Amino acid sequence: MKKISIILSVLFAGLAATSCFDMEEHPFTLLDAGNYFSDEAAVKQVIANIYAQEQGDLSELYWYAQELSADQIAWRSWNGGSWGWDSGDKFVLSTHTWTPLSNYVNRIWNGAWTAIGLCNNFIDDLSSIDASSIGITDAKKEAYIAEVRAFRVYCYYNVFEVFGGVIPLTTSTDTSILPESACAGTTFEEGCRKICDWMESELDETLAALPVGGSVNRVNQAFNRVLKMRILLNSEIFTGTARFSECKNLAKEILDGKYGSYRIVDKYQDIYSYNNDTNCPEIIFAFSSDLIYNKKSTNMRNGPFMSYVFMNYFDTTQRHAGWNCTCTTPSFDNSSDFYAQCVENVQVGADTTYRSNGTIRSITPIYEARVIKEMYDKELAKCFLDPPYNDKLGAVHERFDPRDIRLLPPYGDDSGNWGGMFLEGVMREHYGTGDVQMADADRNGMGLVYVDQVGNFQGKGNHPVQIVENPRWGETNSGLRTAKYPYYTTNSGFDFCDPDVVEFRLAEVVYTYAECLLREGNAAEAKNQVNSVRKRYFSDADWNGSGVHPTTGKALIGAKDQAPRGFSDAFDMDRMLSEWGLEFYDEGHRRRTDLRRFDKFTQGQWWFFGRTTETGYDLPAKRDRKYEWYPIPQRALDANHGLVQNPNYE
Amino acid sequence: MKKLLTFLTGVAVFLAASVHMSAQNGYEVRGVISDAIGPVVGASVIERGTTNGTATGPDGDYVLRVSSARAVVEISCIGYQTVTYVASELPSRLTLQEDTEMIDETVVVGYGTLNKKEISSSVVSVKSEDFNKAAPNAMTLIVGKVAGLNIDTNASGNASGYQIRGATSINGGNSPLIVVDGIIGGSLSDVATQDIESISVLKDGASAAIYGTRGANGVILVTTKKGSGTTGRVRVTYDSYVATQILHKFPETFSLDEWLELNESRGKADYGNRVENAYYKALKNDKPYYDLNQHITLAGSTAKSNYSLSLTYTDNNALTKNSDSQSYSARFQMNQKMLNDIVESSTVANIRANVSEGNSASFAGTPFSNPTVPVYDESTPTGYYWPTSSTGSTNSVENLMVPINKSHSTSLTFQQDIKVKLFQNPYHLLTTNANASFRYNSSYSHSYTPSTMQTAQMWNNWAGSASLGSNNSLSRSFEWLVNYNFQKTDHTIKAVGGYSYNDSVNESMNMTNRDFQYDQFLWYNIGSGTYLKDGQASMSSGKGFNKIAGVFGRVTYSWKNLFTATASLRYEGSSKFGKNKKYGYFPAVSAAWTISNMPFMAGTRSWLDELRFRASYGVTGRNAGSDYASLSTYASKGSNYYMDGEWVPGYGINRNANPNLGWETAVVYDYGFDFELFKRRLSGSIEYFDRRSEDLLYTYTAPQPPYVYSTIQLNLGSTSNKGVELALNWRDNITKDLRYSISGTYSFSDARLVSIGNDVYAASWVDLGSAGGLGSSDTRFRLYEDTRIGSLRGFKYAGYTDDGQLLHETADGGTATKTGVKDDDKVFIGNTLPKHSFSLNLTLNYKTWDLSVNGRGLAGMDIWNSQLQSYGYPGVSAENLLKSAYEKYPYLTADNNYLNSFFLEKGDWFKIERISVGKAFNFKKNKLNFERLYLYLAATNLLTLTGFTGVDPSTVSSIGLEPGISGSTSLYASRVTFGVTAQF
Repeated sequence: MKKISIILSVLFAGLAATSCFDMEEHPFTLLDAGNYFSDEAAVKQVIANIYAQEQGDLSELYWYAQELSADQIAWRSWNGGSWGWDSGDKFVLSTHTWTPLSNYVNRIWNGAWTAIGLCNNFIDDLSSIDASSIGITDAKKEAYIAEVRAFRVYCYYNVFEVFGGVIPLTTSTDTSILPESACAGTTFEEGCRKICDWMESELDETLAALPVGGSVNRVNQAFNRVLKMRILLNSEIFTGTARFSECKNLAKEILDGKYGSYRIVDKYQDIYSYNNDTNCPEIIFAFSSDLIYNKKSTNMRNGPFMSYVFMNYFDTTQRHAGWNCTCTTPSFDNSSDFYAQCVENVQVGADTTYRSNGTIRSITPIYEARVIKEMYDKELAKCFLDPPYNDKLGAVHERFDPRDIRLLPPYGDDSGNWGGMFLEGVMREHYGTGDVQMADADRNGMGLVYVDQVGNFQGKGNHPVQIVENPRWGETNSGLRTAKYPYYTTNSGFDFCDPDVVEFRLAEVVYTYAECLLREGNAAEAKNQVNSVRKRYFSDADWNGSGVHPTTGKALIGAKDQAPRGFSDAFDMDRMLSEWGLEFYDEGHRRRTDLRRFDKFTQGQWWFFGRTTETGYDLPAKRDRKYEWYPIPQRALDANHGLVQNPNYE
Repeated sequence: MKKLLTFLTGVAVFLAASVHMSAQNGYEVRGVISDAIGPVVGASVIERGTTNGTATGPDGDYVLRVSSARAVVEISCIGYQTVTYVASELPSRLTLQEDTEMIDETVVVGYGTLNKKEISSSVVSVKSEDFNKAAPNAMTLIVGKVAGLNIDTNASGNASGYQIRGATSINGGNSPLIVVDGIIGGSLSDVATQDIESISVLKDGASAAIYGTRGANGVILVTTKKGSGTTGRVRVTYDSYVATQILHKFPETFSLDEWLELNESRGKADYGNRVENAYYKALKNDKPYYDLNQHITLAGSTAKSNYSLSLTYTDNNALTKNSDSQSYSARFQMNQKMLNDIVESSTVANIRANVSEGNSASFAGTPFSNPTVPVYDESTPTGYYWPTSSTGSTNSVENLMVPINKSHSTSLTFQQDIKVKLFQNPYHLLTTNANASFRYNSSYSHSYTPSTMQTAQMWNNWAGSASLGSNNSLSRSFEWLVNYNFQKTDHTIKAVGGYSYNDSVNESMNMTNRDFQYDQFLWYNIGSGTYLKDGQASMSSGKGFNKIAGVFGRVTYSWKNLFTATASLRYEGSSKFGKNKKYGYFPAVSAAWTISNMPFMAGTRSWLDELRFRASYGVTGRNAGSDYASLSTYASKGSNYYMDGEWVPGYGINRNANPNLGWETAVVYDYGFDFELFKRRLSGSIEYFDRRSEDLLYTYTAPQPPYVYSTIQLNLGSTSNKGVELALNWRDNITKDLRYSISGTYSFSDARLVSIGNDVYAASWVDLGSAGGLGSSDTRFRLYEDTRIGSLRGFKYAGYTDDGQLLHETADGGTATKTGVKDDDKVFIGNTLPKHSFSLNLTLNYKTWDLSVNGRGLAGMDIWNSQLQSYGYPGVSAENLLKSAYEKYPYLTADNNYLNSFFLEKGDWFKIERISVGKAFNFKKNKLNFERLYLYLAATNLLTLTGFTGVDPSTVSSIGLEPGISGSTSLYASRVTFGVTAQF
């Protein structure tokens, strides 16, 4: 009996001793936040994640907020309005009908504060650590902190641009204190001022600790100054106080090389090519991209525009599919059907084959799309730049000078050379030389032909064609498509993910300088400055003037002096705004960089606004200043009662 | 904690020391048992507190060696009163009295068994003889048998999901805890249905509280059969069935010819196929559907041990081609007495393997697809037609036939229990047992998609894709229990106390590579794909670990046949909980009073045999949430950035930590009457429960800033569920040979969200069930505080327009079409949570024949008719439509796909779920010892009575927080099973 009691006692003592009541967790694939910073590599890993986080938001969420809501790019749904509709998530951006409940309003808010929160935590954590304990010098530690502080300003700037003075200003990581909106207890404008003042002082304080030049992927002095220049340029709409002359001086300093040596490149392709991080002196800051390590890359600049068969056009084998969801805003109304005008759909026969990705396939029946070249020449439809519309916004393709080399159909070769930006007309494989590519959905079985119109010409979804249509009703061939960054041929060995995503480049400084000059009344010098960049898009002959206009047959003056279609010869504010749009088309900043500063975002006129109605969807026929800033998402307001909604949305 | 340990150690040592061991070598009892008519065959003679026992033979005779002359011998047989004697006083001729009292059954409860009279909480036990026949899985055995246990069944009538007394947790899961032979968290799929002896359902808080942080959804206890039989003889039971399915008619859509004619106005693309039902024919298995289940059990006993071995093989030949699967399992149990019967060892080992090769497909949607799309095309590399529309659409037949898939899973369960009898006399019995078990589960799935596939080539630009994945988990548990029983004259005390530990570790691995030169390698040469070289291949692995530990105790006291009460307490912690909330207490009390035995009830005894009142209160927990969720951690973010000449992997804070994360709490009050009337012909119970769930885990919007991420898991909010459950059973004999019974269950419940959020974390409602909408992801359900679960929020139907659009009422009193939807116009349009649930079971026995009919139904809810919404009116853009679309709703010519209450219907239904007929053959002595043969034929899913016009409403989920959304397509099949049970 004693034996049993001994065994039992030992058992129980064993239970207690072998920590059978210990419920601590020791994860296998996670690291304890308390002592994460063990060496310099750990520091860099956290910084890498901060860059990557903001890069992801910038390439998708901010791109939506700043481009879809503006005049040059639209999210359109096709196939009778049912494909690409996505519950109207992006439709509300393109039609200015968003609310505090809209998905993307919420997603932008969430992503922004994740980036800023990561910065705040990093700065807090690293500041509290003795530099020597992780094997770096104090100076190195300060440099890392300065880098993240300056980058945090950039993150703040991006979210501020969307929401304005309602955002809170906080660098605290204490989760027990909920910060108030910057404008709480005061005016929205005062909130804006607080944030701008703070951003400026952060930039000024960190400038000295940042390097001059160096990697285009990291924060440096030029990054810091260009960001400050953006704040100054937009100071009037941000804070009510214009600071153009200050801005002009700073732009001049940057142009003079005070913060590093940069220059405008002659070949525009250098800005967007696979080696743009080392080979392009125009670039001040670009997010790093790579096929293997960082696929965030340029996907959002091209992918949303592309059809499902775009790879065959570019002779490439891309590992992402086209979305077929966004298009360049159309230049023409629907008073004539370009598709019907330009294409004969000829049934070639029951057993005709076509190629798809190297495989011979057949469909029954097959149509060959044939172009009648006069499609544009006849101009049966009206251009939005012409009377009676007289827009100076939107109509992207027609705002370009027709001789601009960016208007060439995209081309490429196996050496990595490439050019051209818009997909237009009949799409054929191999850069327009092969078989006709097939359209999907509402034009299933027909050739794929992109027309510079958005309309529901076949009336699918019980929606008859209207003279001016909104992006709810665009057939699969509606609108031109954009390849801003190159798709390299498979044989070239380069990948569309290889180019780094350009965020700051010297051309922005030149254009800023030009705009400041123009605002001073110096239109001639402003034009010279803009032309100093534009020159690269034209042959010498076209630049200086020769030949006749392809449509009108009139003798042409040089591109340097030629006013775009619908614009007057004077280099005025409308022209400046248009030039901003063309140079930085699809680079993710049209709403702010341009439209808002020129007071066109809710007051300007382009495409469908005021010209069509959409039952129930509340398309604002009359433009409303309410939409100048985005509202705080309802969910954020619910979670933090210290936040104040933008008064326009209350 | 330490003090408690010291105390428990002391108690254990004291108890152990007080055991005095008997020096005797046992004591033999022998005799004959009879009743008023003659010998009683099969009565069990057991030494109390042990598994030492035997059954009486053909002449009512028995011999049993018990541990001592003072051992307590218990003689019992169903239908007779149980008697107990001290061995030395046991008369050799014993006449059993027929039991006119409540049948003296023991019921498995958490950590032990109790006599039914001792139970004062809400426990329902179903024994194997009452199981539904031909059930392919464990829960199907008891469909319709337990009031308050809601079981969803799939199109062929098999249990697919279940919950006890409704859903009350939002994120924590609503499935009850499964305990198989004492192993907490065991898997029902491990156990062959033929091996199950009984299933107990612990419905209220008091009965489940002994399971602490895991008891809040109720508990289902599965007990398997043990070895038995005459000493030295092996008993063989062959118990098998084969089932087939008869598909019910598909919903009537337009035939190919009708479609072509109609298409002149509809204008869908014609792809040229002229074969009727081409996809259905191509997908459907050429061989008939069958589900074969072969099961054999060998059981036996020796003087000191008993054992059983069962083997099961199942083979499922599916409705579609290339989708077959098999499983193999074996279960071995052995009980062995040692050391002069002081120590008893019980071992259970279970192994099960599932094999499936091929793919799965469904042809439920084929009637609604475009009938002109060909299946085959000789010009494509795979020989299957490739859709030309660039939509990512693929050929479902090609998807079924071409990719190569193989998945195996193996599970291994082992359980060892050692029980030591510490002390025994006629009044006291003290035992202790230690129980260790593990369950190891290993699964892998490998697949290869050849380069010839359309999906591979066209949409993704790779030629061939191989993937390998595996998952291994090991769950271990250790429990140490001390049991004490006391019985003297009018007093019975049963007490159990113990320690419980459970951990589980899970490891997984997954890899994918693509672009292969040779298809014939399949996944066996995964390194040869070029995606790896290009950095596009994916590779991942992971590991997780969690554990739970607790101490618990329970005391049950009974006085005469009048009063019984139980109190229990569990103190338990889990590694998942935050550091500020690791451990919690889960108490329970319950009591029952047999009113009918009171002197003042003497006048009712002529008709009222028994009336008990019981009341219980219990607190249970729900161990919700995932591992490591409370910790503040850094993790690889899968991002990279170029710094200082190299790509640096990104690391960062990976979630908003919540050190206060804890369990969800359920507080349950339960009051009930159990009754038996009219010479026990009518029995039943009625009870009322009130379950309130608190500290519900919910993913709240975190205030950003200061939080880094947009969501945080918090324990806030509460739900309540109140209801009434009624169970009735009438049984009687018409003649000696003809017996029948009618039983039924009914339950009413009302589940509500009581509160969500608090002052800091505001949330006014919970939106559930994505439905799509304008500019925001629309949801179907909205639960405000004090709103019934299942509350549908949408647009209220208000007629239709001339151009075929539905109208709905608007907030300002007008009407609007789909294009005018505004969130403000949404109102509560219905509720999809059934209020009433009922079942009816009839059985009839005539001599050796038996017949049973089971019916079941739900009422008091709406069901969203997705079939109507997707295919039911002319304006839908679907490729093919229900014929009734043009007959019933010719005026709806526009696309009306939105949350208009037009699509909501009353969902009440009742169905004849199962009819079975069986006949037993009993054999006289023969060479093979062939004792009994039982044959049965059963059919399930026979007829559903309903006004609902969509898919069969019994296939629509009635459980969880998003009930009542019907599928737009659904197969519905009757299942016919022929079964054999042969005993040797």
